[in-house]
Amino acid sequence: MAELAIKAVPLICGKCSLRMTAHRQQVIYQCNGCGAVWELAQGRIAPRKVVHLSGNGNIGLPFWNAAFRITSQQGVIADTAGFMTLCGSVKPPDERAKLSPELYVPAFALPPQQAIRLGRNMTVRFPRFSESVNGDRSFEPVMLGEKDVPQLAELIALAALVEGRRNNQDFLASFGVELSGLRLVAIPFSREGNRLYQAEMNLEV
Amino acid sequence: MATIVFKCPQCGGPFEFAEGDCSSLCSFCGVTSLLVGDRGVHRLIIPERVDLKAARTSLRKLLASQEEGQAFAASFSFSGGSLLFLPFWRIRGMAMGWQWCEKETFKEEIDYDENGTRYTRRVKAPNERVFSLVAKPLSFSSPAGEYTPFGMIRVGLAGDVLQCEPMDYPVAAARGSVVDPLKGIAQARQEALAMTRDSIESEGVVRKESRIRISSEWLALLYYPVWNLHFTRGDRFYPVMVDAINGEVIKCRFPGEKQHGPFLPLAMLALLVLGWTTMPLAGVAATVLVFYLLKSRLGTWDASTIIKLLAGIPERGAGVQRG
Repeated sequence: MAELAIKAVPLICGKCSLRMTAHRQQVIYQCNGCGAVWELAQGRIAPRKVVHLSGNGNIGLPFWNAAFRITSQQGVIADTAGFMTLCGSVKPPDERAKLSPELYVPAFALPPQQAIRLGRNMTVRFPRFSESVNGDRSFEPVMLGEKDVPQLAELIALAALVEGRRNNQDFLASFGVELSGLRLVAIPFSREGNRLYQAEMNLEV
Repeated sequence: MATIVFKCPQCGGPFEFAEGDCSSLCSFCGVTSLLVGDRGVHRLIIPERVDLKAARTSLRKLLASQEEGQAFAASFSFSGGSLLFLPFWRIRGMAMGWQWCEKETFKEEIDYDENGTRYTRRVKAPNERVFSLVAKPLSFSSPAGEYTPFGMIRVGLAGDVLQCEPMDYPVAAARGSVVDPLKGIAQARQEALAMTRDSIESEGVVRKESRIRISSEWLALLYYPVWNLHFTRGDRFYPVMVDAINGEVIKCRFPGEKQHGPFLPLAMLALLVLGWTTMPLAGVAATVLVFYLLKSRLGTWDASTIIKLLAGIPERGAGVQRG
């Protein structure tokens, strides 16, 4: 029989051989049995590393996290202090001023406008999480693939800037975001009614 | 949204993917499967539902439905046909990015004329600069070649009606000719993005700049079946395109039947002259014969039709044209 131009790959955990379930648009899959995380890479199931961050909460929400730098007509902005200036912050830079700013791109199911708003709110809070020692915890399904992160990251960075810059055509034309060290992280949130709350950042979804 | 019918890799049972979905659950064995395209492109085919005979019948019905009727349809002879699979690009996803534009704005000013009557006038205000984020669902199809000779511009997919199957080139090539795509993915993406940009409101826009890309892209090359039939009449050759899904004639062009020629009126005139110049009885017989010929030929006593016939004006019926 001739080989078909497309193929179906069964979603079975490569670690414990348990059947995994997935939402129709899900791109990263977690085994309910052993907690291993998988993704589709080059036509087969391959392991994916997820970093669980510490914090209060019982629901892990997945985010793409990366250090970034902004290129524009004003040059390259690669530190937190410079990014704060672009955002119009008058807060004096603290000890993190020289570090690279970090972007958080929501990877769970969220309408684009809300994802941009949430990503912006997290990014401008400059949170610093430490890694949790308790790995392999479950997290919400990941709907945003790694290849789509740069597009959303650019919009989140733009949303964080002061309006005056966003309305400047020359600035926009030269604007770009370069990501480095992209990783998938699960940040703990706690459920409060219909809302999800992150205590360390005082942030509601 | 079309559905893709597949065989479960675990149990071999049939199961369906909705267009744009990454995964689907087999209702027989309960295993979720992911659909993987060759280099990210899902190559799919819509199997033909209309066979050659039905496609020919479809055209004959169209011809017979014209004024000229069955005889006109029968005057064309079928001289062959082939099944073609025409490729179309299908793109689904989200168009995401930003748009900046400078818009003209106007304001209303109150003024008074020389009589002291108050009136308002519309004056130009400083241009407004607007930045907006763009996030729109995208569903786009575009021919992967130049199909205007086939009468096709784009293909729409309705899930309840159309079911796709994974493309199996040898099997498809055994049934018909698989047309190679001439247009690349990059061009199809550009067209999809241009469509998105055009759909954004642009009233009063003086300048604009945008950067929009496709996110969560689902890309497919979809082969759509059409019948390319050939009909002849006399020494002329007529190609016809018939949709191999619903049997509709997509494109054809046939001349209308020739109704009147100059021979008949001349013959009738000669008969009358001969009859009346020979003897009155022969004249009466010739007249009766002429009336009989007129009735049998025209089927009506409409004066304009008779005049046209007697004047020997050659007249063609309306041509059959589609596409």
